[in-house]
Amino acid sequence: MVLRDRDGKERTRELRIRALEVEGDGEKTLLIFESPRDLRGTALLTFSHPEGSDDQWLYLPALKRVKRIAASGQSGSFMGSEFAYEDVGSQVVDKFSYRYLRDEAVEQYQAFVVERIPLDPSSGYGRQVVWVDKTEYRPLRVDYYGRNGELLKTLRFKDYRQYAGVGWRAGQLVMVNHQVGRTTLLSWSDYEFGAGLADRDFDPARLEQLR
Amino acid sequence: MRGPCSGIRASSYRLAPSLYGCSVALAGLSVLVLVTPLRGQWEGDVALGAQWFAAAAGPDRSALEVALALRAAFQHDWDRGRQSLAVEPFLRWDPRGERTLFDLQAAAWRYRGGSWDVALGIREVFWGVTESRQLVDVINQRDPVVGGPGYEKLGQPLVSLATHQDWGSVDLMFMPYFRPRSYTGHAGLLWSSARVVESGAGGWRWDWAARWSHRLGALDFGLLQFVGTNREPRFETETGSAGATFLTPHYERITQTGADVQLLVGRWICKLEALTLDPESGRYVAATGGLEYAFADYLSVFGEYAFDSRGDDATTSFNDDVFAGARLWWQDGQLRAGVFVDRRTLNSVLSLSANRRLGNAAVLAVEAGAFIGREDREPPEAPRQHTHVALSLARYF
Repeated sequence: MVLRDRDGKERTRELRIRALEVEGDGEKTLLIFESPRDLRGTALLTFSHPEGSDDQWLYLPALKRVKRIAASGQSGSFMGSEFAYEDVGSQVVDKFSYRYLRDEAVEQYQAFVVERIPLDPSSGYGRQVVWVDKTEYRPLRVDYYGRNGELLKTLRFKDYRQYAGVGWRAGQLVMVNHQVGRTTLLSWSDYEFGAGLADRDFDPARLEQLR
Repeated sequence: MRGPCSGIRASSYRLAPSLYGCSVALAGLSVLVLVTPLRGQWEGDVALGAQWFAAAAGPDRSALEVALALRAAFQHDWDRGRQSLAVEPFLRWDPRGERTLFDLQAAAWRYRGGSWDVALGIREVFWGVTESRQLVDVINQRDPVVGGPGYEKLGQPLVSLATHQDWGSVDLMFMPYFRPRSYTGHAGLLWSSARVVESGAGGWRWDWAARWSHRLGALDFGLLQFVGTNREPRFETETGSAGATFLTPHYERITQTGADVQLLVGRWICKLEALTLDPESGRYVAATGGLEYAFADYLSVFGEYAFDSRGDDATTSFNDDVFAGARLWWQDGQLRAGVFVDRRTLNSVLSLSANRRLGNAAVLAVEAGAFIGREDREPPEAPRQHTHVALSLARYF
């Protein structure tokens, strides 16, 4: 993850992410810092729930301490980036209402342009406009609008690759925050699906041993 | 407590020969591990630190303490992550020699099964929830830290067994070896002008601890029982042949019972830690509790109250004190500030620490503490709060 500020100064964050979908109850996510070096081994465990607030724990390796933290909620910034938690979490169909707008080309793709309105009042957005490619239904671009209709951010998906049995995943996500002039580049690599993860790999009581 | 400031700790101790032999063996083992084609790897940091005190530690001593600290960590996982070996040596070099220290903060094999965990070796264990003090964090010996908020922990040799069930987690620990505290540099200035003479009371023991912890929705709680050697010594004043007085530490066998509770309500977290133990001087109760409020990811504020039933006989300044503090994070660093105010004497202890990341692999840290008030109103046996400023620069590799 590369965070670029208005003056072009860049900071790099390297993370490993493990996720487990929980049947009937959101997702468990474990995020482990690789860099910057002083944060290496710091881990953030999140149990996200479709309703109600998420549960979060932070593991501080220097103290061997697991701290439960008040979850910032879906509109909070993901690791100081321009992504909100709701932008990086799984995009559940039932969380929005939809309206078809038009067809439009995005680079080499033909796309549907769809407006979607978050149903959850705690969302940070009034509406989103999504460009979805017609052949594989991959999101190509999302414009995020605030509650007052102002354009907040634009997200672009790049370097799509197909993973056997799972489908397409973007290799790069670029989020531009129009309000503050900052950009976050999120590059993904080494996707592994069906990695044999279970609940015990996301247990807050064993967070110290999970790496 | 740890991290970039670690190079500036005013403390040291001597390893008992048997443990020292053990350490050397483990260091040798870690070298072997390093040169074998295992999937594990080394990492660590080197830190240069200096701290200045408002008063010198003695007539023949300096108000400036300097140290170079080297911390390394080796981690190797195998058996699909079920088994691991962690080795974390720490070396602090003091050019004057007094505070030079070698410690193994970890050297342990661990097994993580379906619902059982086993660990064998030297480990650091953290228990507790509150911000201002750590009462129920009783497993490791604490190395008194004059600069910095609280203490540094020494690795504890132990055998532990843990199980994780629907009714919570149980940790059982057997601790066969006890390590004494050390009092050098400013840490040796306890409350009188008499210095501490270390008794070297480390050795084999039969110490046990157990903790049951559970999570019920937004409520976390833990109950602990500890039967063994008190990590905090009792002091006796003795007079040497030359007429000089000095303090000798004695480590009693005690039984202590503790609890920690934490409840989340929106952005609020309510916390409580309580501990009761039965030293020769009589049973007492200590408790710390309060609230944390998270404004956002980057700002939290704390309000806590610290109590000790021994009152003026307490071995801590924080026997009837209110604590207020805040923690602020930003992209390249963090800032932490806090103040204890004694409800009766209004004596205050201020603390401030901040660090700034330089590039991707270096951190500059500053830490300061100040005592404001009258020394003669402090509990007579509470370690002095030293006014100081510390700086350190750490480079990670």
